[in-house]
Amino acid sequence: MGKISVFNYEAYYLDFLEGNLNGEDTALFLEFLEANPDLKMDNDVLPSYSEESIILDSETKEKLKHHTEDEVIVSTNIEHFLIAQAEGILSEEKTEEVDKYVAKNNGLTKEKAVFNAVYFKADTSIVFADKQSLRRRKIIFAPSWRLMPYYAAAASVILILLVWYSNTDIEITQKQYFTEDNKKTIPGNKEEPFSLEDNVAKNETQVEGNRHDYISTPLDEQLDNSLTIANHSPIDDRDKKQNNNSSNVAENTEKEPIKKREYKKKSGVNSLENFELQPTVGEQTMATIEPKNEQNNDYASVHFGDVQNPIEQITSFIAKKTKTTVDYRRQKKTKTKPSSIFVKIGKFEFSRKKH
Amino acid sequence: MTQKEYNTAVDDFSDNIFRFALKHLRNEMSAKDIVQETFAKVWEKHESVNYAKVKSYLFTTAYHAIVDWAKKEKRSGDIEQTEERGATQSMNFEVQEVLTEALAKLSEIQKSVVLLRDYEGYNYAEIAEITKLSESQVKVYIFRARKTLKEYIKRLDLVV
Repeated sequence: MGKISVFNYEAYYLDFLEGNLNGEDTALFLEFLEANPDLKMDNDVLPSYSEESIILDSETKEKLKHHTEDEVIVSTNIEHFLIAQAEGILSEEKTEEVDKYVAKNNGLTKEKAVFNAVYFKADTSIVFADKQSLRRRKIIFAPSWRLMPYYAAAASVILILLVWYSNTDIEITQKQYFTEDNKKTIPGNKEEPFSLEDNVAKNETQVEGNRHDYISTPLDEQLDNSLTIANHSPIDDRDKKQNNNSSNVAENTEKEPIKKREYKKKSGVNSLENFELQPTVGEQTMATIEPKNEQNNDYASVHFGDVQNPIEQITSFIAKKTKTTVDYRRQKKTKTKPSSIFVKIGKFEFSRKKH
Repeated sequence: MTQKEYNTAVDDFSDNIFRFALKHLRNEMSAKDIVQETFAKVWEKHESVNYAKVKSYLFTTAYHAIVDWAKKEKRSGDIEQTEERGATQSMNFEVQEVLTEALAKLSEIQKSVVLLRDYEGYNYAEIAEITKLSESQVKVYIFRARKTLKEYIKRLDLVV
């Protein structure tokens, strides 16, 4: 008795209810409850776990059963056969058997009628009105010739905008282009004053190879003649003459630059003061730039004649329909050529190159 | 399935899907949403769907959409309200209308199998394919549903 107290009686209580107490402990526990009747719990408070209390009603059990057509029709399975008959899954033989059974039991006639009635019929008046929203269409571009100029204009605007925004350092006009370019490449334009004397002096120090692009002028010829020594023999072929003169100039320039200057000044006819000076730009002439392999930023020198038009069919088609000159040429950057783009729509022309 | 076939399916089956969903949900707006959702999903897979089986595919998709919808609505309690509204509105003792009321007494899966059976005339195997159940399970669900419906109608003594 001493081992069961108010502090541990609950554990004994549970063991007692579950039947886990041995005989001695059971006797001790019952004795404890007699001594402490206020701790005794009512039966309705205590849950009942007896296996007998958990049962399924016969109807539920019946629902769980599976029936086959081979079964003999009895009162407990007639409902199944009535449903099967209404479902149309019974054989003719079994259907007749069911009908006979129903005929013998008048109470089943109504059951059979009800089972035949519990079928839904689709209400065809209920329709989905918004079928249009479910349909899918192919998007077909059908060009209208009347609208073709507008298409061309829209395409042009888009193209221009694409080019515009893709080029961060875009140059719009030729003037701006040259201004920017000269600022970058000609030191004399920024800081050094450009004087006539300096220019002449610089021209005199041009290398011999630069002469091949040089176009002869009357002044040049006079100068050349004045610079040539007595052993000069005239040659009818102009090119040969120029080549020879160029080499002579180079020789004389290298050997006697000071004398040559003096000679020019002393000569009344050939003096530089009597002739308008040719528009040279110091070291920045084409002749000096090319041998140094500098970038040719001359806008006008970018030729698009040999650049392919990747969308020739489209441009020619638009040009034909709009009766407007439409051209588009694009050159990708190579080792020898810069990337360039050329767009022409009517009178509007746009081009750029990018090194 | 081509785009043309898909559009034909819209014409042929959208009403069926709508009725199927409406009977389930008893809510026109929700039923329309189910139709939209069903066809949108079928369109996504239209290139891999065989047109011969598009009806089954549509009902399968609709069925799952309805089940999802029912789960969602059950959580929010809307489905009970809908059922109550339906019950109070219907005072007509026509058998079909009473059956519609009785449909609310069925579980979602029972509703589906019965409607697929009655509305579309699918056999047990086809319903099993749509609902991803076994054929015997479909049969059991249908039989139980018939008994429930029979009890409901019998109680009102509508059928003589």
